[in-house]
Amino acid sequence: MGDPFEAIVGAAHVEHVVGVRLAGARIAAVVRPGSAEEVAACLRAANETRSAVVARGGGSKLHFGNPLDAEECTVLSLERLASHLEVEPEEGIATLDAGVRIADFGARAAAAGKTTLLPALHANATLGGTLAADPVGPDWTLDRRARNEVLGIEVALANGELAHAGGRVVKNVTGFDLARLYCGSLGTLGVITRATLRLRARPECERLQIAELGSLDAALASFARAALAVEPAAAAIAVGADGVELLTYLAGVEAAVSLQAARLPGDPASLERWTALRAAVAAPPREGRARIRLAGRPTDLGQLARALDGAAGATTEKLALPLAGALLADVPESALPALAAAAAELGAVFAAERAPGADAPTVDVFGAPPDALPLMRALKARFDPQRVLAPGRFAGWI
Amino acid sequence: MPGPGAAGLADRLRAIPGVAEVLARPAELFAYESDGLTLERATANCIALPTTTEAVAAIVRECNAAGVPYVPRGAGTGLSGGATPVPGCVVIECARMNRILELDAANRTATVQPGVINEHLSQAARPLGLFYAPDPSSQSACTIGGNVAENSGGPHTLKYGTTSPHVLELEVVLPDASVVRLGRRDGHAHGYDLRGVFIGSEGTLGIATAATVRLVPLPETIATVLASFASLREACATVSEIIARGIVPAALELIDDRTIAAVEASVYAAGYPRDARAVLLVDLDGLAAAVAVERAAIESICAARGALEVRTAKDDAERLALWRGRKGAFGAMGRLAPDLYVHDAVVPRTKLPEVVEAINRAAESRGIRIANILHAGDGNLHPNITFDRRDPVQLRTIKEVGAEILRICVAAGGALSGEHGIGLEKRDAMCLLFGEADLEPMRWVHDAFDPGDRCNPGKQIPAPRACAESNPHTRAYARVSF
Repeated sequence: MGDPFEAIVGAAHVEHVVGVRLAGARIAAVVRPGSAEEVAACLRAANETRSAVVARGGGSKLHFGNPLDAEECTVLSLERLASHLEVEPEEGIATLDAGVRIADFGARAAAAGKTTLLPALHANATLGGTLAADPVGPDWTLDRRARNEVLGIEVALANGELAHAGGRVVKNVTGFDLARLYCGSLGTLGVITRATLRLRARPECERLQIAELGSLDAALASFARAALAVEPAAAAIAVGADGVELLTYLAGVEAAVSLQAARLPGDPASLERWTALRAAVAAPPREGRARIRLAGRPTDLGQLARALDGAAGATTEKLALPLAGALLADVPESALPALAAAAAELGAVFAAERAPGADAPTVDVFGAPPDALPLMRALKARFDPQRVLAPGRFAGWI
Repeated sequence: MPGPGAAGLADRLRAIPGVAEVLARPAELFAYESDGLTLERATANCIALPTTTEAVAAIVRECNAAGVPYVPRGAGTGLSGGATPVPGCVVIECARMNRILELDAANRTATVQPGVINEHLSQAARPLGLFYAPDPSSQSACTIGGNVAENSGGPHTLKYGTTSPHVLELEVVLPDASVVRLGRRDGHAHGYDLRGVFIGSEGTLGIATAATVRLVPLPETIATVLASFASLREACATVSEIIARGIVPAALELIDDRTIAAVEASVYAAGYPRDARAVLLVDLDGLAAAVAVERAAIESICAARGALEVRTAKDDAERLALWRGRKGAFGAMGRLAPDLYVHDAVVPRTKLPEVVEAINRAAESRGIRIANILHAGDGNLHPNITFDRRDPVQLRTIKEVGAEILRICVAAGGALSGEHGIGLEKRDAMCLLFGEADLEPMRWVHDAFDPGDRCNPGKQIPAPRACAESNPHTRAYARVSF
């Protein structure tokens, strides 16, 4: 009997790999399915042979998560699953394959006078990877999440079936909202093959306002005061060796954007600063360092920053997101246990993205397990009873 | 069906600390035989009214020990039978759990018990310059717990979204009577989004006993524009053009001539033009500078589309009167017949004109007249059917019309419900849209939460193989829908 994956996708689309490891596991092969049905068939084959499978989109988050609970794995790379990209501006929706790059989707949406709120942090970021990894960027706010943009979803399951949830309408409560379950699940419940997304109106005007302030606390207070009279699309406070800057990103009708800029401290700045911020957050951390996220309520940010300084050093450069209540920073690997402990003590969320190729971590990179971990395990046991979908990779070593 | 432990259950529930009341007299049970969907009725064993999370958990424990199913209920305003009793069950009504536990202005959140009435939350937040955005038409009666169960929408869903994106954390009594938190009050939960899958599960996965929700700033200004049209088609085309131009109104509602007539003849009379075939009600909110630009654009689109009249409310009193008519429209239909079947389906927005016409034709061919209210910006239809449920012929006919409405909407690429949920009403129609492969993961989720099938059993998700038996071609349908 030959290789089951070659039988499904053809030998030309299976690359046998020697000597490459992923999240602690040996990569046996990289398999490139060309259709959703082939993805489902690959999962069925993996399920039958109990071999671990890791789905790959653009590849920028392949190293994100806990080590795999497997000696060997197969990478299911979805770049060939990229033929369908349908933008329907009058309906305000778009339907695309998992392998379509967000940048390409964004360009098509823009040509139709629309935009997407999905972040294109990484040049090769794909729909499937973005939904599965739910990456954090400077545009993050409490209500701007990838899962809110998904109207319908198609997912290949471990049992080899293709399942749908939601639909192609902008408002829908037909059955359980499974799209939200798959979003951010890092490929541990199924492999997303296609989704229908909400399109947003393209803003008439975008502008960046930057103010220099004396400290993070001063910047937080300044933003809190201004936020009562403005509706910013996003905001970030960059704390570095050169000082503290409050960056406020405005979008909308020109007259309203100008008015808001006048109500904010600081001066207009080039939008390229914001693009650079996105790129900095998208780049993987350097060797020996980890990108950490500490998160709580917006009013917790000052306290979280002090905890970060305490564990990683007072000169740690950081990015605070006041509309999300999140703090991002690159810290030495050695600081992770202390930071995870500090977050747990403060009741904050901790997550760490480690440098590609880093050794097995000494902490759960998602921090203390969530309250509902037993329920999450019960779900995983039903969706993936053989534990073939990125086993161990997710929060609580699920 | 209830097990042998049902005898004396009401008395055991009365003994639980924190249970305010247990109703078990026939007249009391009669009042709870249905929710807002009066087509489906059943009698409960008793109605328990807890006041604390611990009391809810204790009631669930007693039900489990007695082998009796239970059905969560908020205010009973649901329209798909989600709170209809399972025969012989315990109804756990959360209306007495009506305290706002915390208003956090700095972080723009509120933590509430599930029985807090939707509108009361916005009223309490108003002095802080904030409000709770999801606004079902029943917001003066419906509860946050019920909204969570149904993932409720409302007219302002167009801009602000349904309930789910507004809920950060839930405290839930699971079917095994344990208490768990889903999500986090800061919105940063990690792990699977169980909060997201619980919202809209129609009381089948557990009972929410507290919720932390997002509050949003009161808009600097609100403008309400009324535009009337001589044809439904032109009104719908206007809706499409507004959206295509990139304007996102807070609400974009359409009411047809039969609804206008019912409203204008009622205490909710709002001054809608009686000679129009359709009226659009458009709310624009936000910064005054943006609203002024959008208002001018909408007025010009409506005029160019041949509107009979375009007017913007001069002041808050006129604005609220226009909305009182819209929100009171369902009540206004009470003048027409003893019962009202408020249907709910959703289609791609550009399909609205042909779908509404097809629905009207399907009803008229059976001698039924429909009054339409549409959340037109979302493609969400509410065909309203007045009837007298004492007449078995009428009852049969309106159920046929209801089923036909769903077939029309699904054929147009739509879905079964935009905001009222599936409940009992549309459970079997799920097979029109989903195949067994689609429904199976929903059953896995249900099984993970409620392996004993004790919590609101028989709602929302059809039984295994039901779809294969009722519609062997469903898979083809589902494939087409993506």
